[in-house]
Amino acid sequence: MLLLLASSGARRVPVGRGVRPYGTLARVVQASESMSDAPELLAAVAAGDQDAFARLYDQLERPVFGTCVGVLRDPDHAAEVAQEVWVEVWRTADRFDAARGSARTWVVTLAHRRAVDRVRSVQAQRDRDQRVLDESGERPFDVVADEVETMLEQVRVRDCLQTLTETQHRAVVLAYYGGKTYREVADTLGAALPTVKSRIRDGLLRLKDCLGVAA
Amino acid sequence: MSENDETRSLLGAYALDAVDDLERQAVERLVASDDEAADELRSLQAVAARLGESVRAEPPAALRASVLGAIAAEAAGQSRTPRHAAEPATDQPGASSTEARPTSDEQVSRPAPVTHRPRGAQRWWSLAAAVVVGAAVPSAIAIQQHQRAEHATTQQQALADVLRDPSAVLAHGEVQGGGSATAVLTDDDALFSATGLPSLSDGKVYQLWVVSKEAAASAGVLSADGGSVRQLAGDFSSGDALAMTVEPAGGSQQPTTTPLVILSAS
Repeated sequence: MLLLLASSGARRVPVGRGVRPYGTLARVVQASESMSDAPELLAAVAAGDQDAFARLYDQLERPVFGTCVGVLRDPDHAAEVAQEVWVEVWRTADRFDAARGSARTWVVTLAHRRAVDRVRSVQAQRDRDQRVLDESGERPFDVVADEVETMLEQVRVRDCLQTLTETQHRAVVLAYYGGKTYREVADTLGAALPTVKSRIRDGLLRLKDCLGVAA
Repeated sequence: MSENDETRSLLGAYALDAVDDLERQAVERLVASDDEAADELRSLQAVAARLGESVRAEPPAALRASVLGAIAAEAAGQSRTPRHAAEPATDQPGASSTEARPTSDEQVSRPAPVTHRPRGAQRWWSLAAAVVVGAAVPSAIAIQQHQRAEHATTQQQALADVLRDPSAVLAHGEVQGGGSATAVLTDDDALFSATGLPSLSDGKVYQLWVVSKEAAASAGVLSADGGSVRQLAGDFSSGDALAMTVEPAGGSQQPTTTPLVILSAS
């Protein structure tokens, strides 16, 4: 529990970013500038190499944590889920298949899935929060969209989201950052299921072109 | 619309984790057999990943140590069914060569400055290769460890109990001469484990010590099983450290050699 980490200062060791207790700093810094060895690192992790794991962690710490925050908002929750994600990376690295996508996408996709799992497992709490939002007259999409707007640091992603049609934009944001299923998105938007499915797909393809994502 | 077309229409929602379990399985079956669908999913997932990566967030400083500590504990727990190649053994830990240490100096370990050591024990500790300090155990990990241990041995149960203690701190470090050690330290128990230890010559044993500010007390002679040891030190208090030395067979009343590893909570 991060709460524990934060509140037990007496026994917590100073492991800020300036202090690198594990591995060699210089190589870690170099490695994070070129992502190309992530697949090799994952392979080494699958073989039980803790040093490779530490280097992979240093490369992907921010995208993993950012993904968790994007879905969960709360940094403490996000840190808990991120920790679970990393343990899962350690345990399941042998399932990574380079033919199915990049190592980076594999890890970040796992992070998103676990963050969404967490959102759904605390759905009851969220529903209560949602009622408060509803009563205050705000629309859930706007809330999510506003939060997302302030969270995104990559201007390009923000700008590209703006190139989507309104329905595409809403569907993608509610599903990805809201952790909603496409059925819930359809309910929220008052749209038909096939419409939502195709808007999500079309929206992602438009984002792909806008961002110049290589598959 | 065929069933495959129906499933294909879910690829976008799948890439955003916006499907239910049955739909997820259907998509996974489709992409396993349909290269075109697999290609499309690959690019949709790459786009989706960008949405998460672009979130501005600074990971908490303690997360890294916490994650690496958990992985070290996982690795130690897997020692009975090793993922690693068998490690070469040497007669004397102190005399082992680099070849005997497949986990080289890049290994996850943390030499701490002298000021981190509890006062009073410094003279004896000062010769040790490294003092390793720990990080708190996140409860999520403690619970996972507990669940994994439920069907396991008594010692693993002890591990689970120790991990569930809210005061639990993980420490991990290399053992001088070969192998690595992990300990879970709480306010009143400590569980020590080490793997990849070189076998000792006849007449020598590994011995564990609970080191307080004033003294070292034996926590028992360790029986090495294929280079792995595990020991619960019940007589442990907050602020104490664990140390492992090589002693004459039967063990010693007080440590007679330099510790090969020292694990401390703070």
